[in-house]
Amino acid sequence: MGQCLVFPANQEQASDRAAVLRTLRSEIGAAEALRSVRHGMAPLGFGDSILDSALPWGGLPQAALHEINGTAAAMGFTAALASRLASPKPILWCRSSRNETGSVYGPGLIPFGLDPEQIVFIEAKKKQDLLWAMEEGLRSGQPALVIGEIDAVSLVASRRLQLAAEAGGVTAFLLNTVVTKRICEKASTKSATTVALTRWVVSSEAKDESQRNDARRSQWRVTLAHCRGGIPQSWLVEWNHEGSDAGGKATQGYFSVVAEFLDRQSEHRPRLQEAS
Amino acid sequence: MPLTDARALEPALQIHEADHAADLAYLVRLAGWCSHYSPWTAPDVTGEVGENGFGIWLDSTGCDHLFGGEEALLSSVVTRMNDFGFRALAAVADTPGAAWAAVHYGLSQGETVLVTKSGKVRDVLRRLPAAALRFSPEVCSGLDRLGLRHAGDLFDLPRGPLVARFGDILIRRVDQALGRKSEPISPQNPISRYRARMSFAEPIGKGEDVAEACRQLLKTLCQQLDQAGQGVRQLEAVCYRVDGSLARIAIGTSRATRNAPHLLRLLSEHFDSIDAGFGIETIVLGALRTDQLVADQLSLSEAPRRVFRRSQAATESMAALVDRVTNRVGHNSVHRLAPKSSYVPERAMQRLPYTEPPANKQSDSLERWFANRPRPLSLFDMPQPIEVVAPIPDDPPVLFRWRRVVHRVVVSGGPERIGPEWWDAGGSGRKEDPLPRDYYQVEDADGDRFWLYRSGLYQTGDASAPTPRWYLHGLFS
Repeated sequence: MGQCLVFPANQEQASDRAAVLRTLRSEIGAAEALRSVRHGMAPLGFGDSILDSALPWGGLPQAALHEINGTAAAMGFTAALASRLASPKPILWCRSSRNETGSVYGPGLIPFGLDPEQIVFIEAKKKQDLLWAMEEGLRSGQPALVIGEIDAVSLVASRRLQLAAEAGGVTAFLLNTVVTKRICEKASTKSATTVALTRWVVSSEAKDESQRNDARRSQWRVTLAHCRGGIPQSWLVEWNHEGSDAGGKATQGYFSVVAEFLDRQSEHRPRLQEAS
Repeated sequence: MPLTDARALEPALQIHEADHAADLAYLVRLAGWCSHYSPWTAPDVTGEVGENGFGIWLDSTGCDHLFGGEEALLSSVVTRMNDFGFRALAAVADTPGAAWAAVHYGLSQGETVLVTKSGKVRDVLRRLPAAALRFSPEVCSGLDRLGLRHAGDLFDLPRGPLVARFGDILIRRVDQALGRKSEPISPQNPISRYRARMSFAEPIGKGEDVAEACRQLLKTLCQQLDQAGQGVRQLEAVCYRVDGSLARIAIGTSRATRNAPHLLRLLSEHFDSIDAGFGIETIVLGALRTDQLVADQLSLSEAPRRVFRRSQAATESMAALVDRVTNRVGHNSVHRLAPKSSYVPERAMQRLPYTEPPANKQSDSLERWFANRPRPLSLFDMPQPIEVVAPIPDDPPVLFRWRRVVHRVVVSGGPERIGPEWWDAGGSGRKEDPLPRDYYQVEDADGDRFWLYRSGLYQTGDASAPTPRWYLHGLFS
């Protein structure tokens, strides 16, 4: 009975409160919004609804810093993401001149849909020089993307890079590759030391018996280890170089999440469903 | 005076060996410093060492008015040389030969500066001794014996007998002194056609002052370049210190430019490295290398946007960015990749210095890069030796060890045989002939994929043949 009396009033109040909350949320959202959102830059999509919806922005926000760790697979993941940008502007790739994972091989970039001649490489011995070059590149606003292969970037340095990315409106990837998978797994459990918006750990994944016939196919274990406003998740992802639209015309490459067996990696399944 | 006599007079006398090499080196430095009077300077080493001293050539054509006339220029040179601790004499004449004669023999006692009147070379030289024409002592004594004591005696003599007796040099020197024959002086430093110069009433030392001077000089220089339709590829700023030494900074650009703010920004990276010493009195900016650069055309529809963008002042071109990185990090630091027609993997790609990417590509990148075969994303410049367990003769490996880690191969693809290029066989300076390679793509139990190759083939029935070796060449992603 008492409930009946209270209910209408409460409802009115509730709708009031909801409206207030809505406006407040939109105000806070506008104040906190990423620069790319404010400037109407579309987020960089993966071409896969599961991956895109796992991120609160519906894709990787541009004009921000992202961190990608992992084995050689991480380099492929980065190259594939770069090709998704589909921008005619050059890509700046800063890397140490003493890199233990070898140098970037032009013909190897083609399967990731990237034109090797679009990339401008900056090689330096000193880490400070690389960070400086990255920051200059980001601030100039000229490249479409700045990739930095630098390990152990400090919190302050990453903050500078993030601010530079916002100022120049350029996306930045911090790529950190290691040779063996074991080190890579250690890295994924480490807590965040940079201010990157998202942190990814990419490693190769042993293929199932059924898929073993193709040694060329790129299949990666992609883990979203940290995401501002998102939930860390992990997927088995495949890169499809040459997609085709309904008319059969070749389009840009896209990622796709590969269905996993429920008995393997079962802890990832519920989250996947939640996200989609 | 012999050394023993000198020692008898002054027992505390210190003796140093004459160091001609160091003298010459210092002369070169002084000649460099003198380039702030005229860009065209060179050390004169033809003069006799010791008695007459060294000399420095200055081609003052078109430069004397900057110092208030020829006499003022010479006085300034002499005063400065005296300040540096040298006794200096200076003379100016129409030809190098006449100037040399004037400075060595034409000055009377107590005079340090001599300006010969233009067009009066003959009159000036006539009264000077024959040695003033830069003859060797043997030639001089020979002339003396003939009674030809003055330079003027030689002017109108019949040439044939003179050449027969003393050789070609005699006539050449006479002609050069009189201006009948040209005598080029090769400048010590490269001469920049476009240069701007600024002297200061008081020596400057602060970084901001240098920056401001460079800013104004760049403005002048860029105006010159604009009129000539040229753009800078290499720029040099030379700072002349009061103590007779120089500081040079040089920058390069990836494409011709005459954008003064951009050039100033490149220069300013190096301002810290300038040691002002006791102060800088002159700065000269010279474009060492220029390329043609036509004026930028603003299209009518684009113009308003450009103006708007300039007001934002946030954008700069990619080339400008590359310039700044190159000037700070190093010359080979910025490069781009280009395909090369070769099947040998490490030669299929070359690194080129950054240029604007080719606007119209003739063919698809797939064809240009020979990318129809599996190629790894990262390639080792030096293939890494690995230990392999593989069935012979040409099966893919079962097991391999790289960097002390054993990888068990689960999936493999290949082989892809890549033969050596025929023109490369048995090349000079190589220990061994290049061997054919069999490439395999293998995947280990962790899912990591590698590009391995076997260098050489297993020879059946030939025990002396070397065992093929295995290498890891790249990592797939």
